[in-house]
Amino acid sequence: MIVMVMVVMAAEAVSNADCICVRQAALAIFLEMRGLYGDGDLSPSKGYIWIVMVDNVSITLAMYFLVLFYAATAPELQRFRPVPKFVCIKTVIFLSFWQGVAIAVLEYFGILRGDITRGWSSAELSVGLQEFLICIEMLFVSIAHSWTFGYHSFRTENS
Amino acid sequence: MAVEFDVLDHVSIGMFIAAVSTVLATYFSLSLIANHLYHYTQPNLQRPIVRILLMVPIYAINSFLSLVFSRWSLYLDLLRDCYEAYVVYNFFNLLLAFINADHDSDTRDIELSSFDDPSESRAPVPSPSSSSSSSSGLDEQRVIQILEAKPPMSHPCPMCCLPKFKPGAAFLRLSKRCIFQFILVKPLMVRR
Repeated sequence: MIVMVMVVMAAEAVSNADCICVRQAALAIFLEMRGLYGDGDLSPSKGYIWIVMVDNVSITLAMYFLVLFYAATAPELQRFRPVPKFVCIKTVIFLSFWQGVAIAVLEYFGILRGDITRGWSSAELSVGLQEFLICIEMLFVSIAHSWTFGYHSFRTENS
Repeated sequence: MAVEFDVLDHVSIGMFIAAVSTVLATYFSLSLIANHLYHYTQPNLQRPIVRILLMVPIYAINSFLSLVFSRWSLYLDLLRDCYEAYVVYNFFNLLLAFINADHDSDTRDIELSSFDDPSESRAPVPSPSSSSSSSSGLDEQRVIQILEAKPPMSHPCPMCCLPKFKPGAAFLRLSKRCIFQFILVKPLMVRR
């Protein structure tokens, strides 16, 4: 799939760099250097839509097989209460994903607006808000972990 | 008065709340990890658990750092997303370890109750010949045997139109690959 994206990118000889300040990583940085990324641009000649698609397919595939494997081995796993554990991990992943989407939507409609005079542009504000929410959520996740991944069942009688 | 309120504006209040919750979250999960390591009685189960628990301090400290040093947030987020993929992989390992542990306790129960009534919900699994030699460590052979003993299963709800799949060695291999590809793809596909 990565190869596919690279082939598509090579085929599309689009070379005008949009001079917008986008922040991306890895493949996105590489594509941006060639002017092929186009953040938020849904055109198939830009990398953005392909990266979003590959990322979504990848995470869906991984999650689907995790669920499938659980479905196949549910009677053996029942004793260990795997569902709360799965929910704990899943919540973090999905929360960080969907709140990113929600913040992007808020930013797009201009509800979330930064104030340059205070040193926070809109983009920085949305990133900062995302990090802030993760910091808060981690407190709740750490409390939830002490229930779901408790150590009491691993204690021996003498310790 | 207005000036003083302006100094202590929303951003610094937010920073303070974020700092407090980061410290608390890190403290809670590090103490839980310490307890796991202190009572490290079942390494096969607890190794992936500790790796999963490390997610909280890594996420919290990482997010706080990129809140404070917003210039570096891109690289810090890259690290965080890589760890997310690693956690998913470790959760799969934990499931495998649970199945092994379940099988261990099953055979122990059967030995204690002298084969009188193996539970009917589970298919009776023939004990592998090498069980004594590899009593510790993840034994995939056992997981495969448990999977092989199951009838063909249909996919869960949204995908129930797909043909039934047969659990077994091939299924385990496919699951592993599909979960492992996430670790490889995720760092490449990080984006904003």
